[in-house]
Amino acid sequence: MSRARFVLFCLATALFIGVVSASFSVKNDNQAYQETYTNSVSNFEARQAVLLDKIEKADISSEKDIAGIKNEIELARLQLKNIDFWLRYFEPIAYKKINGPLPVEWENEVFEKFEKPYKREGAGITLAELYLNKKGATKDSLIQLILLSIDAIKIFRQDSITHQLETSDHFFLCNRLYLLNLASIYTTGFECPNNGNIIPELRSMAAGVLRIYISYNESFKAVPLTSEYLALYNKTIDFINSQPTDFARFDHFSFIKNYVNPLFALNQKMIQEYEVVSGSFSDYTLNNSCNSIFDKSLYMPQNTKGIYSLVDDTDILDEIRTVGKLLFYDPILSGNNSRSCASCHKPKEYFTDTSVSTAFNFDHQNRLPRNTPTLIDVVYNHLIMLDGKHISLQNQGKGVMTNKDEMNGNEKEIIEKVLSCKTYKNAFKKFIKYTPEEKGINIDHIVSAITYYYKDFSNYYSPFDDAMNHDQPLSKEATNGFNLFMSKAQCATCHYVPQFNGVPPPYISSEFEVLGVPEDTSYSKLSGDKGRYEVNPAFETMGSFRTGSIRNAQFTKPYMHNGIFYNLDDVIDFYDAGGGAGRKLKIANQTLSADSLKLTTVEKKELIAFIHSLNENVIFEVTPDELPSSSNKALNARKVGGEY
Amino acid sequence: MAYRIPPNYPEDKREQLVATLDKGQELYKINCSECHGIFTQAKDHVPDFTITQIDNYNLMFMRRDPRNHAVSKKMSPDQMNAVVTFLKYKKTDTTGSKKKKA
Repeated sequence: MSRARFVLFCLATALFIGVVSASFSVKNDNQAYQETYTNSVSNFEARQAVLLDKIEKADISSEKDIAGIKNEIELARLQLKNIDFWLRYFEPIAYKKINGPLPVEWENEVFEKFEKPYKREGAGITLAELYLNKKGATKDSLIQLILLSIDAIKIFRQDSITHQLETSDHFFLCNRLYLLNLASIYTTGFECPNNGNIIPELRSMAAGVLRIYISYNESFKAVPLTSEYLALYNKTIDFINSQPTDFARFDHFSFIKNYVNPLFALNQKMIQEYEVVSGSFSDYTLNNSCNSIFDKSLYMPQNTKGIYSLVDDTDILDEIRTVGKLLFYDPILSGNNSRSCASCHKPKEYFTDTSVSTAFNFDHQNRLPRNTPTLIDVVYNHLIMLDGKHISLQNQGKGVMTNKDEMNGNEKEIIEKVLSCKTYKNAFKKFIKYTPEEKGINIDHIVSAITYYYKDFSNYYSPFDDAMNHDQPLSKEATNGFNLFMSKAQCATCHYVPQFNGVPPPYISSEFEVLGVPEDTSYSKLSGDKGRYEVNPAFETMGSFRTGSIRNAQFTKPYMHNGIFYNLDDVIDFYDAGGGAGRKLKIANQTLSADSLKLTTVEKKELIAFIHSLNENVIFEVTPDELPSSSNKALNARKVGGEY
Repeated sequence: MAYRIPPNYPEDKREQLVATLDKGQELYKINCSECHGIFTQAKDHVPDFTITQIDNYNLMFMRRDPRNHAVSKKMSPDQMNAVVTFLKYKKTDTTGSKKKKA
């Protein structure tokens, strides 16, 4: 190359490099937002370091030093609330080490039916504060709780988590969980050890989240939080700040109805508009097109079609439902042709039996150990039956049909008997064409028709839902009752909004609790039923049962796993006294607090008024006149609904 | 289509496994093969997905990711399990001109 060309070449290269590096020097739009995150996490880490130092230097027999530690814990909590928005969503498991609510939790959402529940040990600042209140607290244990938390926070600096901040999708998903938690756990004392701090923390957190919103909008101008949303959120902050500091006098009802639920609707709209996609297991049951927390489409854990999942044809689905209804009432499914699903899940009694504590054993003499749960709203549970033995509705149906104490059927015989009836035979021969992967008619065809029938009874709404969704009026008594439910009475710490069952946001697990229910109302001894222990043996699960839904409770008596209470007053008195432990029964692992709730007579009445407002407008159907006749004449003596 | 069941697979579970594999193959044929398989002259061709590909697809399914085809078709978990098992146990296809190096 000639000299001139060489110089020209160098100049061109230099120009090229200059142009390219100039374009890289433009500031990355997302940096401001990411810095907000990193700075907030650092602030929390700094507070934790101060806390640890304080504990190490303290004399924990000194009241003054303990007060000092608690003060430091509170400052750490306030910092944590500035990043809760992200942390709870990004890595909920690590979060349990930073602000775990319990020392041991069993993960009861299992994504594969072959997996056993995982044991999660909690740590962090809430447990540290609770631990301080215990007799014989040692400094080492306290330090350990904080060290585990300091370790866990490092996870939130890893780029497997922080890379999500670079794109906008995560933001609306974090926000959705934040709003759902606002409606269900942030105001109830679920994750705050000191009741006096609940509302002050809420105020601080709401303002902190506003700063996150503003930072996000600055960095993601193409997909911002709308001005409509921000205007409502600012009003929400005003509301929170104007409310009493006492969480028992905070207006939870108005908070959710006028602020949190409308914010949720706006966030869902943005999720749809911006085509937000989730890569997290946490969102798997949530429905992106649901517009209210109190709409029943909010989350759906159960598959009600079973083997007919791929069937689209509405005419065939209607026929499947019709057959399912007949089967529900048909004792042909039982070993003695005398018991049907309807025997215990009486369709006119809210799909439970309100006349007995527990149903008859198959032998028609002894009694089963557990009360029949209602089938209404059962589709909103992840684990089925009081000990969570079954992961799907179809498995529950098959399990009961073949259980020797319940229906005592035999799979092969059931299919033979069912197909001996012309109506059923013709129906299933038609249906099997829609399940071409199946080689023959099997028990899944039968049980899936049944689940497809009774699922419809979970679609109804209550006056409380109508108040939330359609601004229908609700009595002052019921509103007060709801506010008590969410605060002083502590109900909402296990019975979560909106189903008031044991499924907390993001609605991916079913919870179990130990209440210390006695064997009978004399309270002379504890119920001997081991509950969940038989499925998942552990110290924490002995005597634990799945938290039921409070919906329709007025009509689904009797209550508790052994059906010992026949009215809601007795139930409320049971809780008010602190469960079994509160009545001095010996129980080592009760999850319900043994302290009295100190509810007044008026408050108890208000709670009951709220519970009544959860009665859904269920439309019950007529009982079938007759059952399909069988070619086996002996079977035609069987009665609709069974005999006992 | 032939299956590749390991020789040490428990004898008493084999029948059930084959039933699941048959089911999975049928489901695959109906729901997936329009795009992921070609049926030419009675010779079935199902791609040899890697374990990673199969597991990733299964994870997307369990997360109910709407971009997953089985989710948008509304397959049940049991049906998906049959398909996944089938894909994992089917014999790798070494016939035909479109042969891929294993």
